[in-house]
Amino acid sequence: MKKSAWMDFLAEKALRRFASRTSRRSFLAGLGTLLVGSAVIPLLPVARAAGRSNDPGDPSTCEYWRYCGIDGFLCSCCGGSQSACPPGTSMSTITWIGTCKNPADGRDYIISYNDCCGKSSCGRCFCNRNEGDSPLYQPGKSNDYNWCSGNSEANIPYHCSTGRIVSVVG
Amino acid sequence: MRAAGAIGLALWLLAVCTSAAGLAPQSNYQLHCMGCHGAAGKSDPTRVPTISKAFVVFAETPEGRDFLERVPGVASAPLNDEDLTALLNWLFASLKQGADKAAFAVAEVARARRHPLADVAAARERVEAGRWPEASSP
Repeated sequence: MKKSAWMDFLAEKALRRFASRTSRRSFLAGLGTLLVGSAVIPLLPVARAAGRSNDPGDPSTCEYWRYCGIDGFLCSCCGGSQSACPPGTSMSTITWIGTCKNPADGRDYIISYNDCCGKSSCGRCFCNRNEGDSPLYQPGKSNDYNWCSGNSEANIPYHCSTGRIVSVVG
Repeated sequence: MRAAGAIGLALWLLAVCTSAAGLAPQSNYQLHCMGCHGAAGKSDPTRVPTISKAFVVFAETPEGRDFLERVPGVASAPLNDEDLTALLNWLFASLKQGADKAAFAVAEVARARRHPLADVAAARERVEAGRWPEASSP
């Protein structure tokens, strides 16, 4: 009992001091500042820059930056993504490699264009940009091959292509 | 002073040009080898030789090194002799735990790559059976 009386005394004293120094209006003003402030902070340029993606663009369109060297149907339009195969297909273990500039940071990235194999051609979102593509007589640098034929199940059908980031060119 | 300035500028240009030309060995591996041989030197073994298995073993004998320097993927890689040697040494160091010395020398790589192997499968069999070099086999 003694202890709670002591706590009551302290709390009452603190609250009375607080009440004598502030008004209801000052509380409302503070609350208003907090509400408006938290709504406005995301509009400041610093916050907007921080929220910007380092992987910009729409992966289901041919203009997406990683597709600068691609030749095929986009897996992101075929039930997969820019880095994963659609269900029912498997990723080729061999692939052709290119580089693309990421507009977010202006750096060159090594991109692996792994094909997804095992179903007939997807047929949606054909994209043929071919930056860095070489003629067929330089096989390792040509995107015109069906890279699905490099798997142990020979000549399994080509379905679509991905654009996976390997690393930054160093 | 003017001559010193000119020499300084020339040296700076040389440094800029040489640093711009050569990429890190790992990037060169990723650009020119990884598509078929895989990120860690492993790919579909029925289609592509497994680098992670054979490379270190081959690199430790003169016969095996000669094979590695002349195998078409290495000999015809779009890299100059220095960058190619750096790539081979980087590969050796990454695949062999605790490798303390470089396995390949620029002069050796430069000489060997100018004579690419004509029959890779036969040459490989000869290295594995210890019947190397190519010329002295019956």
